[in-house]
Amino acid sequence: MANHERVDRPTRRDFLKLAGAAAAAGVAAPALAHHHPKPTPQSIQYLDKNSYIHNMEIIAHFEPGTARSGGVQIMNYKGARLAFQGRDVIDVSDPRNPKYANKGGAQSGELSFHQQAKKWVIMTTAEAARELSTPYGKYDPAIGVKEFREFKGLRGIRMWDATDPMSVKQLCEYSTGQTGSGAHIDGSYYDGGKYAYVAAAPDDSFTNLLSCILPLSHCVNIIDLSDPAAPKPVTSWWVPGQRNTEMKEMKKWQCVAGRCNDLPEKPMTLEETVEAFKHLKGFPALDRMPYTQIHGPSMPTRRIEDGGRIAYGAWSAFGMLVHDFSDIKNPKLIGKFDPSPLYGGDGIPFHTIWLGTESRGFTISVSESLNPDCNESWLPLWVIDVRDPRNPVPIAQLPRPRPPKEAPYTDFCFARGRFSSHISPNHKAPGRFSQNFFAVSFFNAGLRCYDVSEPLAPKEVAYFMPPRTGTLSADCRTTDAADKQSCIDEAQSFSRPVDNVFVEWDRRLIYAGTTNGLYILSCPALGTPVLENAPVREWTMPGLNAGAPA
Amino acid sequence: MSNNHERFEPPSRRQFLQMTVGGAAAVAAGASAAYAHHHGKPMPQSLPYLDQRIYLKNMEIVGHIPGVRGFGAGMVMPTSGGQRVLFSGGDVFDVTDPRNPRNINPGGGASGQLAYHAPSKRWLMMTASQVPYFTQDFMPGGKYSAPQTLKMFKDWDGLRGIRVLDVTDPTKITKIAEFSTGKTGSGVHGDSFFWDGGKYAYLDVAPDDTYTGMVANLTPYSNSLMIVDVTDPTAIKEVSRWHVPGQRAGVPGETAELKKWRILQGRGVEAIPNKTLTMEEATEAFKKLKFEAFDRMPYTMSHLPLYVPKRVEDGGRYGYGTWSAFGFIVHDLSDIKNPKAVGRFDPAPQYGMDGIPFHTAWLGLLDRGYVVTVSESLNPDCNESWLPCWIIDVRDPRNPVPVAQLPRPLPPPDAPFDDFCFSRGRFSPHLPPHLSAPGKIASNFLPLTYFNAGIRCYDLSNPLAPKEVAYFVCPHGGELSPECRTYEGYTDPVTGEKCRKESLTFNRPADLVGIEWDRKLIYAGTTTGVYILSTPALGKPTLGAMPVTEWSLPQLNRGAPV
Repeated sequence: MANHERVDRPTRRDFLKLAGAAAAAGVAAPALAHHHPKPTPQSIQYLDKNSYIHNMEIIAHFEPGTARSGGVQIMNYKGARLAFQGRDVIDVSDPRNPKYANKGGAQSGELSFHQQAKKWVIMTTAEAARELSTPYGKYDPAIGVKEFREFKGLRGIRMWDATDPMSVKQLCEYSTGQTGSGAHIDGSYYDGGKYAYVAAAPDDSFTNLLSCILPLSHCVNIIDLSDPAAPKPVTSWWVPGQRNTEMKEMKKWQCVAGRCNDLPEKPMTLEETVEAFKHLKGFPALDRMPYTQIHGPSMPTRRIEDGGRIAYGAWSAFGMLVHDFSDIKNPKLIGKFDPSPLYGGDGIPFHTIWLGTESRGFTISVSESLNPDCNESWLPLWVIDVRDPRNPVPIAQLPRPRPPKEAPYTDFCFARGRFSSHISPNHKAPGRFSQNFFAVSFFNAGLRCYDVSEPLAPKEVAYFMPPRTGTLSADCRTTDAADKQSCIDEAQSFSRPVDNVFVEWDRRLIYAGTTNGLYILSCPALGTPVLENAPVREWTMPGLNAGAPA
Repeated sequence: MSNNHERFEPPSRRQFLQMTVGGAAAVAAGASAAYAHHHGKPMPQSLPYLDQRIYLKNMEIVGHIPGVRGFGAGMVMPTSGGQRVLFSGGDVFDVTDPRNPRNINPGGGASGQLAYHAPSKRWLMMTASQVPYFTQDFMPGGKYSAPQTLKMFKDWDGLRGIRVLDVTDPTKITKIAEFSTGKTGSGVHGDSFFWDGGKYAYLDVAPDDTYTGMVANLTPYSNSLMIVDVTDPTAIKEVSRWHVPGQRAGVPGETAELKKWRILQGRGVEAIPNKTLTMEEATEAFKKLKFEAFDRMPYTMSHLPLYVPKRVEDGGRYGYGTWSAFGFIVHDLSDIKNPKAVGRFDPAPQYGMDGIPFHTAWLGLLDRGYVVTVSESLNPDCNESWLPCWIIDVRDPRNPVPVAQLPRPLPPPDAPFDDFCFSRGRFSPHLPPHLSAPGKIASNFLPLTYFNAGIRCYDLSNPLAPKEVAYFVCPHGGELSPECRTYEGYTDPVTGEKCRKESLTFNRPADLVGIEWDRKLIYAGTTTGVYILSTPALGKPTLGAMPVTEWSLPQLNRGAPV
């Protein structure tokens, strides 16, 4: 699955078996942990089955009751519009009646029409043993990085031919480094042009990720996909300090605020690093350490081969970094906005950057929390003036969502599950970006829509919150139950209600990928929806899907 | 008194006027744009007259003192029996009954930093004195149009420094001391120093003529921070100085730093000679930099005050200062002899190539983790970048993070102009109230003077989404002759000089603001007098005598008789 919350069942069961051992090992950190609940006395003791909607309309609800959390992308195919989500292809030509076109036979990744190969292609990612959903991830002595080390599968990307969406065929596999992490899906970007921008740790020297949830620290890897069947490496760029040979640089990071000064300066192995990081002082908890890697993607607003130059990247605890990619072999950092450690000591402070309004001179950064029940800092979504990309200046924050008046809780912190933004819509979409409208998936606060016509004073104008799904057993309802293994396990079922968002800008349709199926919505703030099939006349990004058959 | 930087001593003004002809000749030969600082550049949409109407939203006029320009309005002192006096420009008013203010010392007043000095049991006022500023009031390109002005600065024989006045009896103000901040320097700038009666005062000054790194055309001096010890106000001593590396281009090593300034990159900075720069050399070198106009060059100096909300002698550590084109800088003062810059927010060049991007800071919501910075435009008719007021998260003083901007004022719906850019004069904020004031600061309320947009009041309850909740636009005072109604009037060789001079009468309608937090009164110093105002956003005003039981800063005026 494209979504990084999902883990393959076998791995997860292994982890659960180990949890007892971890508890016995008596880790010194507080008992609360990554992805695991920490309800407060104000938290509600059930999952709210009500749906709340403001200034939006539901056009369709596809597969209610099933988890459809993945991102959506659109292909125009023989006059139809096909939505790719997860392994499925859904015909959304009539948005009121979405239908499976290919159930389970597709791939989930970056979809686009490859100009040179004249094929629709999908870039998927393969990552080694990731999302360590135990309380302390790699810092759990029973988990560590052993499974990660032993992972035998591909660490990298796969390319697929999706020209016939009913029969998606693999073109190739490409390893980004077999001692590395493999590639992270929603941190990677490929638009059918010459280069892909892939978030991955190329090898096991990229040790300096403080967050407990992954073994290695990802950076941006640029891959030449001129021939989608034969990817070629171009270069990698990372923040000095991400590798084990750069401990001196790491200590200077703004987000660690001097808390890494006691680390040795000699290079350590991954295992030694994990051991050393675990004992660092000054961080609130092992599941609240800085996310010191790219989340990504780091991507240009225009293809480099077409004269593009400036790339914006969401680099988590390092902030938003701006690169000059014009010499593609030597990416040059030219600007950054880094509000850490004030905003960015934990969670994923910069998870995605919205570039749809870049032509107006501003971007919007989207954060992601990692812990449920607000057991973490609030991570704002920043409106950033990038008219001078060398000096990005934050000018406002999107307003923090408030619960509907009729909801049974006074703040989303008390609604169970995670409360934070997650992601902005995929930049590759039909139509042209609205310069006034922006939508974000916001986990337990649903889908949130903003009017950004005045970037200094962004307003929330619409929202949709589907009924909560998942299980919250009687014995997991109270604060003292939070550490029970069964409750930790169960919480995975309801932590991320609204996970993904996608917009068809031309038909003015908004997709919400949720744990309760896929919703197609409209919103007056975006405009009157087109409720019938329509050919795609224009795509959002310059050059995107040029030459694709109608 | 010439506490305000628009005001200067009549003698020097006359001297400058004598030089005007020479200045104009120099301009004619210059390649730069003909319009200039403080001088009109009206557009076709601009009003051809000065709007005399008053516009009020959610505010009430409690009292009015006509006929005074009201510079320096705003320091209020209690006297016996809950009486209150207002120091405003050259006058002192009894404002106990704010509906009927009485001038109790016409022409004998003073404006500056007022505080009770506990050791000597006196109310003291520290006033600033500096070389005449703003040469371009008389010469469009300022120092770049008329190099002979440099000589004027050097020859000026007034005090360059501060004076301390005893104002215990506000009807009989006496000078008790003078302190020179340096005979070849600039002296102290009026609205940019801070003294709360404690051990240290924080001055905005170029101590000598080696501080030559000032690029804007207004003055050759690049002001910076000087801390002085005021333990004995009659024997003030310098403690320390701090400047942005490069400001002191007159000493070895600094020019190289100046050439690294971000705001100068891409402007031909390479051509500046790699040597120490005298005032003349610096002026000559900066003149060749490639900017839009001589009156739109970066203001590369401090414009403090450096506010130190908790006295250093009481364990205070941080000072918050506005450094114009250099941004907002937080200093660690724990070693008072070596002030250390620890944090900075510097959004230049997008926000800060011209005007005074960081003019003053408001610390009223520091307890909540924020400061507000206030800018000032220099050119009328919006012939300049828009300079926002920033709300900055300073919870981590090492990394100030802006979180929002105050909304830009829009004209009242019934005004005869669509934007304040078209209502003549300067449109920008200028100042928040003095930090020292009677009563406890309401951290969710801030009034600003906004030149031709009047007094604008903000609700800061949510610092991420500040709202304008009230305003007062005063009648637009001054003169606008028929021949100066259009831009042609300013460029015409016959009327140009007259129009430029005349524009000084109406450029800054609402200039200064003072506040009594406890009586909930706002003082607006304008071109049409001092207005005393109230607003429900601040609360119901007290319109009579009231002893001051609390001050805006915890240590302020401690021990003063109630």
